[in-house]
Amino acid sequence: MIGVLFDGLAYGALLFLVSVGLSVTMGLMNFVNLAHGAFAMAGGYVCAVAMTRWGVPFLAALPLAFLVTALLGALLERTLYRRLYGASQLDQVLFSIGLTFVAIAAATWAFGAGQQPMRLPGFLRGQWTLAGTDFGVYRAFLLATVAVVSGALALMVARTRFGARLRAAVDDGVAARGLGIDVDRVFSVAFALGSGLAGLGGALGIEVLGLDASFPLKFMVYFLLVVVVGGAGSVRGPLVAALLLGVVDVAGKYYVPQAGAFGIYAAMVVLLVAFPHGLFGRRH
Amino acid sequence: MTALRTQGIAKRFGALAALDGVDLQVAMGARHALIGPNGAGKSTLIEVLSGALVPSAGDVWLHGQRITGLPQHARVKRGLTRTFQITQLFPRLTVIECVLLALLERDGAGWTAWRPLAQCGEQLAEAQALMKRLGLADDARRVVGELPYGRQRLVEIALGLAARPRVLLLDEPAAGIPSGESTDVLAVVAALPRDVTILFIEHDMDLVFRFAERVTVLVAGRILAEGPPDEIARDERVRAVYLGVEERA
Amino acid sequence: MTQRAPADACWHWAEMVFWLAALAAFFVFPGYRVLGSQVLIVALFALSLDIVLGFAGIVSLGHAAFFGVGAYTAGLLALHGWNEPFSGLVAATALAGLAGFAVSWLVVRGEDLARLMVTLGVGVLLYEAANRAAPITGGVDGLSGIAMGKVFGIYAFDLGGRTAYLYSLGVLFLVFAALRRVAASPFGLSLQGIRENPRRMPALGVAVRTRLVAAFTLGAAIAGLAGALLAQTTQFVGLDTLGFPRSAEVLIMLVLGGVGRLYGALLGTAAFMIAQDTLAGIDPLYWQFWLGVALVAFVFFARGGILGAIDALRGTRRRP
Repeated sequence: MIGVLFDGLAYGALLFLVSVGLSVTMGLMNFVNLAHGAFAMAGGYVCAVAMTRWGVPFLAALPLAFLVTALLGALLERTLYRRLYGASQLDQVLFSIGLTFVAIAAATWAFGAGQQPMRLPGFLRGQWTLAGTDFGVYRAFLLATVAVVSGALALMVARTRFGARLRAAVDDGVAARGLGIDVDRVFSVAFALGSGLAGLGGALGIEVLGLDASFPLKFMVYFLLVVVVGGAGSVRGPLVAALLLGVVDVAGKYYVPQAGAFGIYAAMVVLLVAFPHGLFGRRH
Repeated sequence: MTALRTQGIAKRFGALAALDGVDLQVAMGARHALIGPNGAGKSTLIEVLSGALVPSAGDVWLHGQRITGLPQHARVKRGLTRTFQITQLFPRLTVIECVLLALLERDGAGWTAWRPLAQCGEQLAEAQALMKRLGLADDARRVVGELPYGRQRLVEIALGLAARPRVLLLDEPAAGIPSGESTDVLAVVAALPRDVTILFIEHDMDLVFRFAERVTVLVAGRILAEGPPDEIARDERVRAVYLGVEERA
Repeated sequence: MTQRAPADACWHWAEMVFWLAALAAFFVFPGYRVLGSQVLIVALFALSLDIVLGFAGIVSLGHAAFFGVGAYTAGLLALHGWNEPFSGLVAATALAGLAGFAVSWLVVRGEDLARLMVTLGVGVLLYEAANRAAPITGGVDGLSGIAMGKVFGIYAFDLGGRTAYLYSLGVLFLVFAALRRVAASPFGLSLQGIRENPRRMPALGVAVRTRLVAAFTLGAAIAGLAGALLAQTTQFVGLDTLGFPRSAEVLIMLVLGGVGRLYGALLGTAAFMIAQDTLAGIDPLYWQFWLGVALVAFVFFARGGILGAIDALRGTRRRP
C-alpha cells in the first residue's frame, strides 16, 4: 500500500510539473490551451535526441529540454497565442487542436510512431528496499526533482518582483496594467516558463509515462483535468489535484485493473460538478 | 401597498460594502428617480431588486409579496423588469427578432418549436407597434450589432417595455441617446399607464426634474435624502454631495 | 448593412437544388454510394452538434459520446435479434437522448471552462467504459457480425451501398426539415438569444438552464440517431465512434462549414470528408499536418467557414 502511495505521488508530481504551466496560462490569459501536452512532448524529444544523438548525459539533457521548450514557448506566444487572448473559447479550442495536430504529425515524421526508448543512467535505476517495500530509485528522484523545482517556483512567485507582477496580473489584469505593470511581458515570460516546465516534465516522464508522437492527445485530458480540478490560476491547486489524481489513478489501476482509467475520469466529473471553479480556483 | 419595498438591503463584495442598509419604498404608479454620485451603489441596488444579485442581507417585496429568494426570471414573470445601463442586446439578431424574443417569452411561447417566427402574427404586430413608438420602425430588419449606439439604446428600452411590466427598473435609460431624442424617449416611458410603476436611475438632472415625481438620493450605499424633486434640489446635504460636480440643469 | 426578415418556413430555391443534387448523386456516382452514405451520416452528426454549439452556444468536446451510445445501442439490438431498422433507430435515438438529458444538467451548471471540461470528461469516460466493457461492446475489436433486417421489409442492405445511401439520405432529410422548422421557431430564437447574450435572457423571463438542457438533449438524441445509422449501414461498431478524435473531427467539420446555419454542418462535412478521403489516402501524416495548419489559419483568417466565405463573396450576411 505504501508502495502504491509512493508510486501515485511520484506520478502526481510529474503531472503537476507539466500542468503548472497550463494552470498559469489558463488562469492568467484565460486561454484554453489543448496543445500544452505538445510542449511536454517537445521536451521529451529534445532530451531523447540529446542523449542518443549527441551523447549528452541525462542530467544535463534535462535543463536542455527545459531551455529549448521555453524558447519554443516564447516564440509561439509572441507570434500566435498572443493574438488570441481575447478570442472566443471556440477559437482557442480550434487553434490549439490545430497546433496539436501539427505537433503530432511533425513528431511522427521526425521520430516515427513508436515509443521512444530511454536508457536511464545507472545510478537512477533499481530500487531501494525499506521496511519490506520496494521504492523505485527513479521515482524517488522524480519526487525530489519536482519538490526542488516547485520550491524554487514558490519562492519565485512569493519573493521576486516578477512573482509579484505575476500575482497581480492573475488577480486583476486590468488593474495591474493600470499600475504600470507590463502585463504582456509577464504573459510572455509566464508562458515560456510554463512551457519550459512542461518540457522538463516531458523529459522526466519518458521513463514513467513513455514518449511517442501521440503523447499530446493521450495525456491532454490528464493535464487539463489537473488544472481544472485544482483551479486555473493557482499553483497550490494543481499541486493538490495532481497528487490526488496521481494516487487515485495508480491505486485504481492497481486494485481494480479492469476499470482502467475509468476511476480518474469519473472522479474528475464528480469533482468538477462539486467545485465548478476547482478546488482552489478563483472566480473571474 | 407599495409597488416595491426593501428593508435593510446590504451587499458586500469582500470588504467593500456597495449597499449598506437600504430601506426604499416605491409607491404604486410612481415616477421615482434614484440619483447619487458615481459608485453610490445605484446599479447594484437595481441588480438586487431585479434578482441578478443576491443581497448579503435584507429583503425585497414586490406588491406586498416577499421576493428575496426569487431568481431573476421568476421576478420577470411577476411583472418586474429592468433595462441595463450598458446595453445588453443580442448582437447578431435583428431589431425585430430581439423585440419578438421579448414578446414571445412574455406570452410563454418560448417553448413553441413548430411555428416559424413569420407566422407569429400577434407578436409581430405588437413588435411593429412598439418599434414605431420608439422610432425604430425603419431599423426593424437590421442586425442590432451594426446599429449606432443611440439606436441600440432604444432597442434596450424596447425590450424593457415589451414585457408589459408592472414595475419597470430603468438603469440610466437616456445614456448614449443624443440629447435631442432623450426627452422623447423618456416621454414614451412616462406616458406608460399609471398602473406601471417606474424607478429610474439618471444622471441627467434635466430629465430627473422633468419626469420624476419623487427622488431618492443614494450616497455610499445608503439613502441620504428622499422627497419631491424641488425639495431635493434645495436640500443642503444633497448640494454638498454634488459640490464640485458640474451642474447640468 | 445586413438585413434579414423574421424566419419563415419557405424553402429557398438553392436549398431545393441542394437536396435534389444529393438525390441525383445516387444515380450519377454509383461507385461512391458507400462513401456518400458515410458523408450523409456524419453530416447528420455534425447537424446535431450545430444545435448544441451553433444554436445554444455550448462548446462540446465530447459529442461523440452520444454518437457512440446510439451506435452501440443499434448494434447491440441487432446483434441480439432485434434487427428491424427503423425501430432500432428509434431505440438508439431515445437512449442517446436520455444520456444527453442526464449529462446536460452537469453541463449547463458550470461556467465556460468547467462546461468544456465536463463535455470532454464525459466523452473520455464513456470511451473508457466501452473499452473496459469488452464482453458487451467487443472492446478494441468492436462489434461485428451485425445482420440487419430489410428496410420496409423490402430493401436489404447491400455491399454496394444502394440501400444505405437512400436510407441515410431519407433520414437526414426528414431530420433536417424538422430542425429547420425548429430553428425558425420561437424556441430556436430563444436558443440564439442565449448564445448571443446569456446574461440578458433571465431579464426577459427565461430560465436559461432548462432551455439549454432541452437543446443539449435534442443534440444528443440526433447524434445517437446518426450513430445508429452508421451501425446499421456498415454493420460494425468500433470504439472510434466514441473517442476524442471523433468529437474533435465533427467540431472541425461543423466550424469549417459555418456554425449556426444548419447547411454549414452539411457542407463542412462533405468538404472535410472528401478532402480527407483524397488526401489521407495519399499520406495520412500529410493530411494531419495540413489539417492542423489549416485549422490555425482558419482561426485567424476564415472564421465564418464555407458559408461565411460565400456570404462575403455575395457582399451580404444572411443568417448568424
